[in-house]
Amino acid sequence: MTNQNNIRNFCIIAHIDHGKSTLADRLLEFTGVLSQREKQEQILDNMELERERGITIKARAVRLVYNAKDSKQYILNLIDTPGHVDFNYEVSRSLAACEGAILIVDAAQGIEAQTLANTYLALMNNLAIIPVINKIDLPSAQPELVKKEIEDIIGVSAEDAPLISAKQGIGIEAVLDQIIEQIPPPTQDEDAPFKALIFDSFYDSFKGVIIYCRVFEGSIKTGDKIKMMATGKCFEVTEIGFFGASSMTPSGKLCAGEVGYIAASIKNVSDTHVGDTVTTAEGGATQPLPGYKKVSPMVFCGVYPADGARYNDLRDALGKLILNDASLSFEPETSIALGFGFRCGFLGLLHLEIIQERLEREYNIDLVTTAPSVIFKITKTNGSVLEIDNPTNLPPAVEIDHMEEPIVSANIMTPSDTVGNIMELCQERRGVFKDMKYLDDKRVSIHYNLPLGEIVYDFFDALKSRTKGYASFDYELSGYQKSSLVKLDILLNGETVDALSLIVHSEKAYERGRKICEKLKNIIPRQLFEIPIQAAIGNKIIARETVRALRKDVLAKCYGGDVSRKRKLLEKQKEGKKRMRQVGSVDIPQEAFMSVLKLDE
Amino acid sequence: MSSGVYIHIPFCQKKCYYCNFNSFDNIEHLKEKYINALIYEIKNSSMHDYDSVFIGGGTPTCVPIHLLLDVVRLVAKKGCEFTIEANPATISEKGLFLLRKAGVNRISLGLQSANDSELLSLGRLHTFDGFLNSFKNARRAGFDNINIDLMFGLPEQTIDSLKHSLNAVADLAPEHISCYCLSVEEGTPFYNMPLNLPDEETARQMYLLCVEFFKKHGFNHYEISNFAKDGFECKHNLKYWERKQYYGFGAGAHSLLQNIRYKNSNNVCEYIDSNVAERTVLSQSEIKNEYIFLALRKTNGIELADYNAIFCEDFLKKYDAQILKYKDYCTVKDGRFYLNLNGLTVSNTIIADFLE
Repeated sequence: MTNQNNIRNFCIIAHIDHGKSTLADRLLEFTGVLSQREKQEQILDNMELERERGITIKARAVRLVYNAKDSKQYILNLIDTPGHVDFNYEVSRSLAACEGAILIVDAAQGIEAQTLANTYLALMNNLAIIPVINKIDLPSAQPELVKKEIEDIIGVSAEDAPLISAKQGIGIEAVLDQIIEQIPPPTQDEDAPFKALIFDSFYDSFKGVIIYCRVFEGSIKTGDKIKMMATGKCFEVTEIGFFGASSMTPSGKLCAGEVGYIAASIKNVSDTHVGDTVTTAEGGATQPLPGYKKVSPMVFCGVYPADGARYNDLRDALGKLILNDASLSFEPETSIALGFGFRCGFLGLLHLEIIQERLEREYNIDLVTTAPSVIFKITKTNGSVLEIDNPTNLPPAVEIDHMEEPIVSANIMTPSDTVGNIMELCQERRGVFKDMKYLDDKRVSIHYNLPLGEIVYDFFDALKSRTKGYASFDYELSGYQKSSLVKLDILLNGETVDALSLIVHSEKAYERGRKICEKLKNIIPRQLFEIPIQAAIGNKIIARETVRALRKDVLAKCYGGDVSRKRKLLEKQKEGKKRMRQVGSVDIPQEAFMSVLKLDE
Repeated sequence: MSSGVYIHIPFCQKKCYYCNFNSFDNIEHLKEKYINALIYEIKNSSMHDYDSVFIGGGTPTCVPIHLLLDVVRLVAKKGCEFTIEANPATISEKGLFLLRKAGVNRISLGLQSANDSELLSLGRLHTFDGFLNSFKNARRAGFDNINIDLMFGLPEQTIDSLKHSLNAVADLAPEHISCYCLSVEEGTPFYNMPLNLPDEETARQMYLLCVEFFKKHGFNHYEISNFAKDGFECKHNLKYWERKQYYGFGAGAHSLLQNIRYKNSNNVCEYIDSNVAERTVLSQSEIKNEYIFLALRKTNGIELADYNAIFCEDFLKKYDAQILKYKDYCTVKDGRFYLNLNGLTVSNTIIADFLE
């Protein structure tokens, strides 16, 4: 049995690209978990997509064995955290599994909003923070300035912060030594009833769901019966152990203070909520660990197969994805324009994009997606309240007493010379200014309350383009607020296209309607008849554009020589038509359905 | 059924600004070698039983007349429609006479426009007067079947300037007229020039004007862009549109033999040294697509019984949704399916819906 004194549980907090995965690799390499031979770039990000995007989507945990200078052997459990605002809750649970955190700050770029948000989360969980300044090999590195920034903004001493270059392998040992010195070992009751925190899980087709957990009290061994306290479901442990760099190592037992995995022939990841407490089925704990909440999707959109015949493939693919991602939801929906598909729920926009890309890349399904929507609360005149995530389901205006929309509390960190741009953007998005803090003479932290519906469109893109990519952004849901909302319909050739409907603020309806019409005018190819594009609220038309009729479309000369070439041209034209959706008599290209999002140009 | 013979001459005195055909104005020195290679290819082919010959280019008439005559004599035979393309700037009365005597019985003269300023902007070497001269020479040499090539949709062209060209052409009373809308192709000088082209609506009006004008002057509108006096429809070109067999000789020439397409090397040197014909076996749906899109270029369209017999399916049944969708653009009548004039103006859009 491992002595708790020799255990250190920690995670790494960093902004995207500040070098979290590279440092993790170095730590693995240095402690010999990862031999050069098995080394693959950034082993902790093991989904292809993660590696490409440089972000970690699902948390992972690795056990390192370190022979420290005091000639003792330590078990270091590195718990990796997702690095994006959409996965805030998962981050908080990973942090709760640790006693300390390494805070990586880029020596050239300094602290970013996301780093700050996660550091505050770590501080709230009483974690010891070890600041580490990375990328000191860059010519633009300013380690002293960054140290000062850490002390000023976070209030943690950065005097002894190791100056490292994870890429070059400089200063890695210093980081390990600080982990031993600065992070307290767990001190928990090994004889109490078993209590472990689930901070992640994934589906393995042989072993069922694998739970990643941190044991807080008691111990567990293979064959024990366990219970999920939130769901009440019970299972028998079939395998238990910890993680090497790329493989699971069975250990037969996990004790208080340790981090590892449990397999118990669990069929469904939705039985293993992140944040839930695992205990023993009999004589188990009565109180779960604090902080559990059920994560629910915040952003919804319709996902349809581009080729209607692949509906079943799409359903199967979503079914497989959901095995590994309890925060994804989907249910069948039907659109007049798009046919049969699914309304899917996501934690946020990034989550949405990741799922879309995985469906297209891993499952090879071309998709048509509709504009994302948030959940609106509708109070009807008869007093009943309903929640809708699809504009099509909005009851008629006369039946609605009022509507509420979700509001987020957003924190934006940006260079001080872009404050004007940021404030302008937030005002445009109906933001309510809360406060602003100068972090130093160059950087500002701005706090706004923003309707979630306003940031699920192109807020990230707009933010980046208005700050030359320097701003970083973090948000959390703060509640619902009554708002003057209307349903904006788009009509093509006089017919409403359900998949293009949006719920927008009444003051912005005209502008958005006009922009969508303009955009669609450029996307919808000319057809043999004139196509009016109209935006309407109820029966009132608020904007109109027209796609002129095609008047001449003839191939020039066609003789022996160019028959093949011209046949191919026509076949291409035919293929183009095939990829379009027919709504009434109008052919609509698939990109039209997403284009209504990108209006900020 | 007799086949057609196409012979390609890839030389021009000067390339027109809009031309993307396989022709060159900088390889004069290869003319003799090329003709020898051409004669070699023809002599060694399996060609037999043909009743139309078309020598096109390029500008066939910019090859020295004795060389051209060698080719003509090799393929000329009785009862054959034998066309040669000629550029008004490159043909003498004597040359025309010799060609006629050697067996050529149809001349296709590239006029394009009767307005000198338009000719200049197209990069043509001749004036309208030069053309008139050639036309009269051709008549004098005994050609009683002459085609005139015209274009519309030209830079700076107006409805009025087009009318002027049409009247000038009608006055000459040719037997056949080809009338195309200019299309600006990648790789041509026009592609990179700022051109003041008529807008789409004007181009449509120009097309409708041409059709109406030539019909009024007694021509049959038998293909999207082709008009002929009774009995003077171009036998050879109809073979392309009806997917009959044809043999192609010369650089870049195509053949269609039993649903296999062959294409010679485009490169003139390569063709002379070691021509390798590229062979493409057409799939059933490619054959069908070709059949449909070519037949629908003709104003009498598809002969339904012929289609149904070849492809073992019922055209009207298969395409009933499309026929309904385009009911204002097409006609089913007397066992044929064809695009009406309205349909011809937007034929690509419609035809695309009839492909597999």
